[in-house]
Amino acid sequence: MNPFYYFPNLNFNSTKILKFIQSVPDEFWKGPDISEYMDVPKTDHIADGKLWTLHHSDYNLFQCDEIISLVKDFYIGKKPLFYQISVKKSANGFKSPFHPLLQHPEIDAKTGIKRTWDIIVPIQGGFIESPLQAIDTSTNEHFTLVPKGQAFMVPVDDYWHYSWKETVYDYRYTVHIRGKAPTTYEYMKRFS
Amino acid sequence: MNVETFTDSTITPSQQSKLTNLCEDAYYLQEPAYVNYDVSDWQNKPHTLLNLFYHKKRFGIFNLLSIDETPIAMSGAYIYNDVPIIGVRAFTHPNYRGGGHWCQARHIFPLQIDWAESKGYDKVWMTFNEYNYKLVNFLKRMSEGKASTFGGPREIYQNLKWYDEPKEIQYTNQIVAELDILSYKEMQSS
Repeated sequence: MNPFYYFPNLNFNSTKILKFIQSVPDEFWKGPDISEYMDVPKTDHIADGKLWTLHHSDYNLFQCDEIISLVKDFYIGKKPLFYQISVKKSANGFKSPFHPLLQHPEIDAKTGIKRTWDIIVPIQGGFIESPLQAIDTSTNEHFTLVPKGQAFMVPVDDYWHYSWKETVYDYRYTVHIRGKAPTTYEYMKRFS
Repeated sequence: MNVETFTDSTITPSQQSKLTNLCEDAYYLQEPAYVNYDVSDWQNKPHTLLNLFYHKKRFGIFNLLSIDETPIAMSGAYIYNDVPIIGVRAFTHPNYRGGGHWCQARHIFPLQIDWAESKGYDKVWMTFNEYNYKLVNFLKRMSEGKASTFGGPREIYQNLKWYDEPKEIQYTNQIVAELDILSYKEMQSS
């Protein structure tokens, strides 16, 4: 199964979102350790100083009207279909090793969360020169995103692993609208 | 708005798709009783609407309301112990509740009442789960003339007779309101 599903009708102004993201104080950006396994000794952070995540739960991303507009269709009535909005920032030259995307299996297991999908909005990056890579570890099939300048959705079940490397800009930024069970990857296709 | 009528033997692929989509919306909304709208493995989940519809063939008539081919409301009707019950497993998309839409009462219930009348019945029941007490109280106030019907179909709500005690229907205690079809039709034509 090709994991990349496009959302051609999801319009966004990446310039406005970028301007907002870059105004967020450093203290709200979390380092790479949040996405590592707790039982792995934190001695060798290959992503230290190269990979950061900003969560809506830590910093109100709805201060940006463009982000409000981005998610406005992902509701049933007043109930959001997403449980988190995050921004991922990675430095030029850093190649993320293949791993589950923004996952934390240990914490998820404790909280009973089963993450199912991310809608990824490309904000800044050499998305054509160095597109997102995916591996279905259950079949060892490899996939490469064909960038269209559109938002797209990926499954984030823990057997899907992703990797990327920014090669053009100083920093790559992507907004992630994130879903968990019971909502499913298939269901969210209706909103494309 | 477009209301469609079907049964398990007449449903078309397009209607199947709309029914499933609206069930998914109801499930992901996670309101009370949302599990009844689960579409995953519904064949093995006897409580689900799809199982009732396709396997148990519960409904004598089922209605689905759409706007521009997007389903927004649904419910069914069937005969239980020789009494037609309408508005069964009713779900209305939250964007179309209130605000004068009256999706069920204005567009769906009249078809189900006509269906019951065509079967020779002179009354229908509407049943409500006890957790729906807010809706029940609202409807009761309209029935008693204590609240405005806000432009809604008063021929339905002002002709409801409420039973004092819940009744056990399909192994569940339900609050029951009864509509006399003749009174409803007289007010409808006046």
